[in-house]
Amino acid sequence: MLGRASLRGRGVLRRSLVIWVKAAVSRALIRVIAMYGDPLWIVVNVGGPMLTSLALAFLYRLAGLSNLTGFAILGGGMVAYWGNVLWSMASQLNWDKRSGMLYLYIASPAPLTALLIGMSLGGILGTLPSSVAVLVIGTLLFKPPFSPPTMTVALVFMLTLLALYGMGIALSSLYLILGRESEEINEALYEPISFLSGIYFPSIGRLSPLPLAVQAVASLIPLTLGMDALRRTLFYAEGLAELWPNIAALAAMAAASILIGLRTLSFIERRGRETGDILVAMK
Amino acid sequence: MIRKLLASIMLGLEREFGWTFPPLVILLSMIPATAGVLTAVMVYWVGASAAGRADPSWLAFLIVGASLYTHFASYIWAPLSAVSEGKASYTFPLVFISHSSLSYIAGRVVASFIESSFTAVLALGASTLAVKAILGVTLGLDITPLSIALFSLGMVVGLLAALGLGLMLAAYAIFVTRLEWGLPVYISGTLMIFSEAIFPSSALPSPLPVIAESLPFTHIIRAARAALIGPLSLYPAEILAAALLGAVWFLAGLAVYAYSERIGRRRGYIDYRVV
Repeated sequence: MLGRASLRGRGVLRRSLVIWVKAAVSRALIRVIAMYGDPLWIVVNVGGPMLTSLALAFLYRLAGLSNLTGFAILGGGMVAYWGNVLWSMASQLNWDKRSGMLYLYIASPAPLTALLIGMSLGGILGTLPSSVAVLVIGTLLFKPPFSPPTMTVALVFMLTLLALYGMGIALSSLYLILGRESEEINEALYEPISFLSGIYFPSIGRLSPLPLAVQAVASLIPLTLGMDALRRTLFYAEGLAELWPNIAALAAMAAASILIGLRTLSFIERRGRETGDILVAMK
Repeated sequence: MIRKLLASIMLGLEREFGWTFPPLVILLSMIPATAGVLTAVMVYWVGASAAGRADPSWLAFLIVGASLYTHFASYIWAPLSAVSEGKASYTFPLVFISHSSLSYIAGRVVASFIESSFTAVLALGASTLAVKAILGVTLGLDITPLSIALFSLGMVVGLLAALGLGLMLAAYAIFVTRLEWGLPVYISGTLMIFSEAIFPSSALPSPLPVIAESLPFTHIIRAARAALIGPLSLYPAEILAAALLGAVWFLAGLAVYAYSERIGRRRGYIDYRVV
């Protein structure tokens, strides 16, 4: 009897896992197809980061150090992801709630956690063309001196995105219980976090103009550590030996934010199913 | 006409401030604006310090320009959003039928101007304090009743130019059914490069400075710098250039909008939307 129950349990687990993976892949594909199937999306997404990074690259050049124009170009490439996390991850379930899609998600056997992980993967792949376009255009115009890309760059980049999208998952579960204010909170968060995390200038470390206390606060944001490590490896050719504290902290932040995000979401989903308030119409 | 305009301004103010406690709206707008200004300041400071030529007088240049830029960039969206949101919610066709579209758009711009004026002035003050706290630099801004009046006059002149640009964006919004926010993003990014918001147009490669000279916003920002930083003697020429160019932009915006609305009515775009 025990053996049969255990087999049945394993079968249920396997089926749940298959559903989870299918739901995640499907949600990721929707993002990828939407982005790659419509070049206008890419054109529209490139505008803000590209023009801001060009303006700031001109400012670096005017300030007297053309070598640092790369900071602005790299920032333009990475800010596309930060925008994607806020507008296409954090707000997504809230928008789905307003458009009625969340009812379907809740009613379907697809777990919300799989949808969010799928959205993250799709967001990363979908934002890639905008990010690359900014980097290519900026590099062609300003020719900043990049060090040759290494495995460390790839590792730091992946960990930064993991931590960033983990933050998106955590925020999306919180935004689910908010109304219109979620958009205002997004607007209010975007620039201050961009500033503190030093997307366009070093906000922590040797070159940072910020006081130590502010640097300490900024270091709690995964994007800060990621941008710092990316700058150090791409412009100062630092490797694993110098960057391991950033890498270890990023890995811990990525794991913690994804875990906290998924736990919070499961809690809100369970409470929502019990009380019905998760689907309550927006104010 | 005046009553329609006032009603639209009230509607716009309700939309901007009515969703929560109004001082919170101002605070939530001021924080990102200040962060944006400070980003430009830090980029300059990091670059100039590394090059060994940090010049504190540039910080006042940056703060005044970047604060005014955030002001324009945040309210030139209002007409586009009035039309596209109005189409999505079926408000705009009703506004059109009642022959109120121009007053509706103008009212929404004025409401957004009021909100972003508070934001810009507070961001200017907050950035000045933050630069003193972070970099230990006191900006030599000339804050007197006269300079404040001249700075405010610049903002009002800017309203005319922004309304002209906004009407052109509203004309675009009549026809576009998705991703309508893409064009304003490009326009505000272009303004950041060409309006002398964070660096003088002379830093641009030739012949691009010509574009900067043709923008009313460039002259408004220069006039604001003349009022708050000096020399004051530059102010009359810049504000006059801003007013003339602003009037040209306003008339062009009116013409483009009237034409687009006519074409939009004939082709059925006024109430056309994608669900």
